[in-house]
Amino acid sequence: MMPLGISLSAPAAVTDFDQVLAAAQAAEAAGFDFLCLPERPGLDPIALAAALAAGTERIGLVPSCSAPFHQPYNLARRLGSIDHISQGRFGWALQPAPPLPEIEHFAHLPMPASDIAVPRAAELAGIVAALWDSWDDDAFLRDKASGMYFDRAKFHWLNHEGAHYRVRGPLDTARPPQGRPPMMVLGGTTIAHDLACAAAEILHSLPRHLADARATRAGLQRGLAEQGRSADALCILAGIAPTSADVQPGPLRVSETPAMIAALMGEWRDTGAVDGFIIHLSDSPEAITQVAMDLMPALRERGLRDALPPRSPLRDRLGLHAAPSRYAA
Amino acid sequence: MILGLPIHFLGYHQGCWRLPDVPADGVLQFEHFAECARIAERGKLDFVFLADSAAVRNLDDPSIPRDREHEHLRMEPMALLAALAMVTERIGLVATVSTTYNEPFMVARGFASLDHIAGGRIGWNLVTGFSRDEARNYGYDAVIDSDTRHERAREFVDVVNGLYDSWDDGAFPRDRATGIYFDRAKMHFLDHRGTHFTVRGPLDVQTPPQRHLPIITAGYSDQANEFTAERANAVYSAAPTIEVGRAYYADVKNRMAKYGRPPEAVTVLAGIMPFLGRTRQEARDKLDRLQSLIQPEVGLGMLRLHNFPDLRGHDIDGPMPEVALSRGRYDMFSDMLLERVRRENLTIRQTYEVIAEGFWQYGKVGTASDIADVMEEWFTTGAADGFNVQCPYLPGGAADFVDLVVPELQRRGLFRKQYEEATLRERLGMAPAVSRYATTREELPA
Ligand SMILES: Cc1cc2nc3c(=O)[nH]c(=O)nc-3n(C[C@H](O)[C@H](O)[C@H](O)COP(=O)(O)O)c2cc1C
Repeated sequence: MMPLGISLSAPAAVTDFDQVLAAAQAAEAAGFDFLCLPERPGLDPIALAAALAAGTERIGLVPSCSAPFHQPYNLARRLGSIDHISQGRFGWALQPAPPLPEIEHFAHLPMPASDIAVPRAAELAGIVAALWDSWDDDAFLRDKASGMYFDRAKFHWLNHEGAHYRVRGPLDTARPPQGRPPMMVLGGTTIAHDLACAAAEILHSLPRHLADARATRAGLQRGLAEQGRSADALCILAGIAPTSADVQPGPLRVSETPAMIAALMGEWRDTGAVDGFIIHLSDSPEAITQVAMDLMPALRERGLRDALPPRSPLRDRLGLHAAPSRYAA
Repeated sequence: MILGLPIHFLGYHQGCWRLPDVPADGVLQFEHFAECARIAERGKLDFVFLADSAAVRNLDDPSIPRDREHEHLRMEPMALLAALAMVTERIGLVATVSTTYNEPFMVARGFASLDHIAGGRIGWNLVTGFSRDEARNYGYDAVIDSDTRHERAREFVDVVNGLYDSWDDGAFPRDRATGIYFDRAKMHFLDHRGTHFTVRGPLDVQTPPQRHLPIITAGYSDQANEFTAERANAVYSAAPTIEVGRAYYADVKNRMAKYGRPPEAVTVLAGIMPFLGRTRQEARDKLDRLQSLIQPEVGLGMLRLHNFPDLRGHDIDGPMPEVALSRGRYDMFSDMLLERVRRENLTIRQTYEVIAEGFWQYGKVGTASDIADVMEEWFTTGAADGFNVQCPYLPGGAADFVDLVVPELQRRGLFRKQYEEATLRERLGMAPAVSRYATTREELPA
């Protein structure tokens, strides 16, 4: 199946939680694989993802956050908890360098110079993923008869001492159901692509046309190889928006009929330029349902989508390999 | 009377996870927390409470067998609270967040969002972090001293409340006809420049329904008590006897005058651990059952955590040897315990069983009416304005409390029969929060 997500991208702040909930439920009913909750004025994306984890059943949830403002231990436990609450439907997007207005709320913190934004964010992402492996999958015996709760041989101190962070571990929550909830990077800039090649499993790219998408893919493949990662370690999803959608600029705007859009998606996918798509829409549940009613049948006809995808971990829905613990034999 | 339910792992008694009806994996199951919260809401409790410390503590101390205990894994409180908001409607929701390892803008943004999601039901249990294991997860080698932590906490609260005031009431006309989305004159840059933080603002979330979320604190150090008197709206107190409870209560309330605050501005919540049965015998049997589930190694570890030396190698059913207590978190209570050990000639096992039955909290074994009696006494004689009900095991202990003790408290007119107030602030008896920028008469609440 071709992964298909949706990104709530209304240009104005959204502070009405009921509207976001209705949008998420509409996207879930329409069969989208996941919902991106970008950083924007309004309700905090991570808080939203946690609430939606309890308010939805099948759809994946992918909030964004900015690397310089978070401690890795805080992120690991908060994000890992949402993967537990959602039973494996969680992913996250990491922004290496936040925009200026946001930095002004953290002016007491040392802000990384632009040349270290990527290595610093990659270190953060690496610590988060490593903390998630603190406890082996079979560490917990919980044997009421013998009184043994866990096996001491099956947890791991991290003792990370890096260029930017020191973290001892272990994490105070168990391995998330997915092992490693996938990390996304929002593309379009060199530093985003560098971070994607270093540490991400999903790239949310913003190509302007097919040739652009193919060039991006080629560049990323070189970058992945330089990092010693295989070409299929990164799932590339292109952002597109119906021309009628009231969304922030960025995604490719398409104005064709649903059948033609489905054909375009199929072509991009088949030529290997992208693995799937993220549709940018406003937070209106009606708009989401309308797009789905138009587009999904056309995608099904081309064999790009199933009727209703199974309830499965986000990694599976994106076609990502299982993520065994780094300590697994 | 204010009542909270801490959802503390699988319960406050060390042996609880081994009971047949307790879900041993519950700490990682959202449904465990949802079930506890629904029970509390059924009992019309004021709030559920999530304590927190961002570490697995004492894993490297061989005299503390963490591998035989259940209190190490958890769900992060802010995430868990957002999800609990979805499965409850009226009950307050309190999450612990430390001011030492977080950023004020993030905390303001997170709590404001939670308060929107939960419709004004959120409270903040503010801690400064006492644990070295926690400090080492954030790049420190040791815990920062208490004075510095509390100084940072004060500035942190100033910034958070200042950010909540970024927008005046009515700042968002969202008028399609005029095209005016927000009113610039009703927006405020905080422009905070302090010792620890430089924060421009404004907050990018609309004013939370409660404007300023209730702040709850805990602790009994001088610094913690002073902070409570100055800033808190409620405090979780530690008191193993009513005398200690009264002394603590008076101490906090007496400190308030110098901050110009009336004593009722802080709700003192004592921790009470009810071992509850339909008869006294049943209650006693329940406690005995739980005590029998504490493995001796675990009991010795509990003694270690409460300032006793490593007693491995001693006969646990023999008398407590001559010991010198170390200094740590619970000095006063450890000293009281040692006096009792000497007075009553307790064995080592009996000593750790006393800890399990209620060490810094008040443990009470009995029927619903026995428990209601002590709650009434604490409530009416200046030891508590309410309680955090520390169920020895969950969710069953919470259901017992709600089904047996709550009706008894209601019958005595000590506790509500229906929810009336919409927000947690109102429930704690707090007046509506007033923006620091409100100057005109009409902006002040009537
Ligand atoms: C009843 C009670 C509950 C507490 N709960 C927490 C908690 O959830 N998280 C935490 O970090 N500290 C908690 N504490 C510790 C206090 O916040 C405080 O840090 C401690 O009393 C040590 O004082 P100090 O901070 O001046 O060193 C609690 C203390 C008490 C008495």
